[in-house]
Amino acid sequence: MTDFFLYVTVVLLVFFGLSAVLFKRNLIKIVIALNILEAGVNLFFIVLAYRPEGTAPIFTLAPELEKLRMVLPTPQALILTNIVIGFATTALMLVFAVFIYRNNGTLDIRNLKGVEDHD
Amino acid sequence: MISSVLFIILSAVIILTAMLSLYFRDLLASIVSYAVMSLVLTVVYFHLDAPDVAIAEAGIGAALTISIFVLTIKLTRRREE
Amino acid sequence: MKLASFLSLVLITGFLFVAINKLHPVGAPLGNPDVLKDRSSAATDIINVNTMDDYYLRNSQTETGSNNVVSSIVFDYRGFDTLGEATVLFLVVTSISMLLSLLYKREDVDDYEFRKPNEFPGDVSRIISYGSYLLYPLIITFGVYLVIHGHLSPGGGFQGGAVMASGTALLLVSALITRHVHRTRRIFSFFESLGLTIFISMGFAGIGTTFLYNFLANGSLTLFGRAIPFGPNPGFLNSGGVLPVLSFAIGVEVFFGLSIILVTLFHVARHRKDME
Repeated sequence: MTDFFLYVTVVLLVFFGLSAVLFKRNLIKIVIALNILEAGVNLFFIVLAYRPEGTAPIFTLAPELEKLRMVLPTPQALILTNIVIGFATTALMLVFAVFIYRNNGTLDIRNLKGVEDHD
Repeated sequence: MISSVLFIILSAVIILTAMLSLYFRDLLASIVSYAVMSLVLTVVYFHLDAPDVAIAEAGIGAALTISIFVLTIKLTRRREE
Repeated sequence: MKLASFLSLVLITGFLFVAINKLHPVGAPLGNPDVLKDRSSAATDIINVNTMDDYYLRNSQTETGSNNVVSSIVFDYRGFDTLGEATVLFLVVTSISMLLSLLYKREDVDDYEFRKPNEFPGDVSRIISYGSYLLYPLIITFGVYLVIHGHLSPGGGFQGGAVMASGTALLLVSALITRHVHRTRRIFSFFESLGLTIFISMGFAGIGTTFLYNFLANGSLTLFGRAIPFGPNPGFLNSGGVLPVLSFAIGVEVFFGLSIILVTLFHVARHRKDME
């Protein structure tokens, strides 16, 4: 029963993040939505790596060898890198937002200079 | 049974704060709600037996990301129009 | 346009909901059930293991000499990905620093607020300043502990560097580094480059076998080379091979890099007086 809720959380986070990227108008809201999308993807990997009645994959002060069940360590190693890269990407996007505000006076994506409407 | 209830409550809080973060018009409130979501996500990571990822998410998602967001909205507008 | 994006959003969410019903259930038995039965299998036994994670769980302690399996994957088995990540972080710090240098003038630099440490600016109270004086060494100590014990307990280079960078954020909030910003940034950028250089040099030091080879593990006892038997143990600081050195290099690089981002953005932001 536990896994069902966590997977649904992942899908809902991806849905909210993606819908806000498509439909919101403020640039900083879009950056926040991209961060929420990324948090959903990270949670998905960690839920995939989970095994019930398992312990953390660390041998220091672990339970005895007979009842040692560990969760999978490889997705955790991948997500560790992903979190830091996500922060770096967010920082760069926010610096771009600062420059866009200085050039246009507004952060509304429909009123930026040089954007053509297609409809 | 206890851990299932815990995961259900934490997941509900994550979804609620993510929705609130995209709903507020004051950008500072939106950022604070995102920080709460990151904090609850850290607790979920810890209960899924991933302490390395929990420390990284607590240090980066809950402390550093919102400080650069606050500095950015000081340089741009605070209210979403 | 809006209708197309709404339909695609519903389609993507529908696919995701169908997909999570077909994932393998988490209630399945744990990995490979006989992974820990025979402890006398050699470290090079890659025929009888079933998955990659079973191989890592079984053999990483004797091969790399560290207790933390996730750290040994990040720095030893997949050290090349860590090099790529450190490069991406370095690149982002460089571009942010270059972009934001367009936004401030060079003259209003080092004598902006010449105040003694006992005088507080008008909007920072005494509690925040004294609390930051007390709290900042504790945060740095905790970050250094996480970096050094990366191969024994949950931690490593990235976590320790992030915790120490949040200490820099504390200093910015309490207005304790407001002078000599350009000298601060120059010192930080030197140490950040030093961290990445140490990482790459340690990678080239083991070039006899391959790049980023763990040439210190299971070697001499004086230089992180203690051999670790398989199974739970209370943790020995002397073990881990080249892992503590790489972890230290990454910790230094992440800390100073993220601090450069924060200090530069703060320096640009504090000149703006109006915020509605």
